[in-house]
Amino acid sequence: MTDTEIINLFFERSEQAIEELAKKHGNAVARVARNILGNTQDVEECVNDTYLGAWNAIPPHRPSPLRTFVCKIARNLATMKYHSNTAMIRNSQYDLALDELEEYLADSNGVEEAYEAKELAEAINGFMATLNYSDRFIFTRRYWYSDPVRDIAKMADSTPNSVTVRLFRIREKLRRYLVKEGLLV
Amino acid sequence: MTREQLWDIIGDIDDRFIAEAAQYDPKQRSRSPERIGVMSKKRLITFALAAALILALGVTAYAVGMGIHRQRQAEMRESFGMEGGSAPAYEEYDVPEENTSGVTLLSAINNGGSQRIIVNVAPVTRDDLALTQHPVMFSIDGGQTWEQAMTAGDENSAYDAESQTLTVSVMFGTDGKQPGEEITVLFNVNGSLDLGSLAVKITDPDTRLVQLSEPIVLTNPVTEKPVTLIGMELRGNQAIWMLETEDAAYFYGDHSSDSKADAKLRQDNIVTWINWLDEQFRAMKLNFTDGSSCSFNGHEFSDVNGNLVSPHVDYDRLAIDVSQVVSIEMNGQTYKIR
Repeated sequence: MTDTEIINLFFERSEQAIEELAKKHGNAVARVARNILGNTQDVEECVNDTYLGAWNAIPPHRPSPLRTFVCKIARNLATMKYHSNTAMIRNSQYDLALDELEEYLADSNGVEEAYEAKELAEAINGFMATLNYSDRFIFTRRYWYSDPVRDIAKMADSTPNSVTVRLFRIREKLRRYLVKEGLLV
Repeated sequence: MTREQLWDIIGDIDDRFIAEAAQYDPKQRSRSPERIGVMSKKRLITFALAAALILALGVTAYAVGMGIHRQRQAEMRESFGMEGGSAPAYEEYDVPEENTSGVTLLSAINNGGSQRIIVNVAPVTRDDLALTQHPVMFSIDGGQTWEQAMTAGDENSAYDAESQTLTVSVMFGTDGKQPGEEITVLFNVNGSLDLGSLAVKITDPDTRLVQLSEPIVLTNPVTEKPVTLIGMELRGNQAIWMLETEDAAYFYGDHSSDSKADAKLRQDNIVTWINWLDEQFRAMKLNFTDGSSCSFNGHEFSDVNGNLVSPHVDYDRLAIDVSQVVSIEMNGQTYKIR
């Protein structure tokens, strides 16, 4: 079933919409949740909440692409759940990915607090537009999807070592880019 | 900056980057980052309409003895319903007789809020088209950001293999710009072949604010309260209805603090409302002085101001002469306009 057909089911308020959404994009949604929450029962709850979120948002929204839309919902819900569960051990891919970025962007001499988060987000989008496709893919998979390096290597037909080195170079590049943009001192 | 803020910032990266990373596609290595453009709903709908018209009408074969620029202009005229009539908002330009490379401006139409231009671009190879259906990119900010120009139809109708010419449609907002103001549009093919720039003057929009001889009072299917059509703004290729309803805030306001049950009920009601609105649009026709008429398609989006809801509704053709509309027909009744 195409995304448009699934969205039409949402507009018709047919519960089959959820089934078809789960069939087509359920794995992607679960993966995003699992990367943040680890292999816990919370993942299933997060996935179900994501479907409910889609149900409440469509209509009036007619998202395109649908997968990105539901993955974003899942990422937000999983992050909230992660922070609400103080007992959760800091070992998910979410924490590992953040550790890597924090080293470059969130240290005490880092990003000027005066700048709005929005400006920084725009700068990061600008930076990503300067990357070639492969580097952009690796960066997004690691820091947006929080995928483990070994999985990214598999997806990109590369080796974990190569991906690690490239991530290191991309972070260096990002740091230089933000300095040049005047957003990092 | 906290780790959480950092996470949120990364969470805000552009949807196109998230979407393109959904699956590793090495073919995209050769494309520029802007290739993965996300088409707005408005552009998508309008483009789809143009493409559908071009394909559905089975345009006449103009090829014999006619250069590709004139051929495309003739096809557009026919597919836009311009033959035998005119739409002042639709402007056609002088083009060379012979086939040329680079960018050739064929025609333009100003919608009141956006400017569309249709151009021929050459050379575009079959390899370019193999990468994507929309290989031509354009920029109106000097090359800082690039968007996809929509191919005007499929490969059969929009591509001329002999001259390697592709016909594309470019649309950009005209907020704050006046008719006559010049815009420089840059073009490239697949982010690599630079085709230089084209200077385009914003064309005159064709708009007309109309009032009905008497308001049309409808009944909101959800609340059963009156919904009054008090008039509309007719534009060259779209009409903006003006509906007064006490329920505007319920359907379009911020209800983020709703309980889950209320949110669900409201969602269901919005569906009913939107579907009902589209039914009303499709039940209406515009009548012209020459006895012909034009129907409406569904609406794209609505502006809301207090109790006034203004849905933007497409015609069943790309352009009309708004001065020639004499009446509106709905549910078997005819309403004169002024």
